[in-house]
Amino acid sequence: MHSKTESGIPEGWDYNPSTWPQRWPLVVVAGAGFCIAMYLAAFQLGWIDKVWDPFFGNGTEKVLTSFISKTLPVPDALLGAFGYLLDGVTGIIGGTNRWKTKPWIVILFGFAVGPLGLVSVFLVIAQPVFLNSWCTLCLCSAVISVWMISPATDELLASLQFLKRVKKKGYPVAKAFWGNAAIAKEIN
Amino acid sequence: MVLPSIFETGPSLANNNFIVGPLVITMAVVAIWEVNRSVRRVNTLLGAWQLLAAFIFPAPAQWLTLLQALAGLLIVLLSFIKGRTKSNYGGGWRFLFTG
Repeated sequence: MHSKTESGIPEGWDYNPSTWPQRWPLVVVAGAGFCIAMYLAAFQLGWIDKVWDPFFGNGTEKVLTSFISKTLPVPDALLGAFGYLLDGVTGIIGGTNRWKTKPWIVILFGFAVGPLGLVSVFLVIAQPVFLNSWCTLCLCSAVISVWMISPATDELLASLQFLKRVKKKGYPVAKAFWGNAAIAKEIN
Repeated sequence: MVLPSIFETGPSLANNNFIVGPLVITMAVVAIWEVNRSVRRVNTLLGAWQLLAAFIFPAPAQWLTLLQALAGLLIVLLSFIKGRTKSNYGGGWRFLFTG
């Protein structure tokens, strides 16, 4: 029978949040979000001149060409696509113990997923309040971003708890943050 | 969120619900997973706000006010349901702030 440290289960937990069955669904979902965001970005960049909306007529076009979408120098759908790409990449990097062997990537992943979700919620609010329009694919993308928040944060919690335990036992937190095999072996 | 497309609800109540609606849904979705179950308590506050909003924002018909109040009350009541918790998370988020 594996000891707790070998199984990769954090102290006080009953499962390992960094295993592939825990992680790959998020990477797949981020991939779907990326495809949706790139399709919307294609319209904003002028690569396609019509965009599909099964429920709201020209609602998507109105939203994608609105003053909100023009606030930043880069089309906002492209930023969204980049966000999903970051989610996917940071979701893939690191082995099945990464909550303690690579806290930096887990924390980066958490910060990619969290703010992306929050920005999505803001944009959902902005559609009816500021633009008087709805955009179907934007709503789909928001659902994806919000859905991803909780499944991503269990790993984040494990890493943060680990760093706290490192600090409590007097080991250097910065070293542990960037991944230190010796510390990861000592502390669970 | 959907009602203003069908009935005249008055702009302030509509905007209030366009803002609070997505927030309630977001909190509810995040709280589905056990690790973030405590986020449901944010919906207790949002539901209480919705109940209050029924009386703050005028609606053109009384049934709309009633519907708004009932929805708010329902959100508050549902937020109290903890649901099954079977996993352990080493003290959860609280561990990061205590001791």
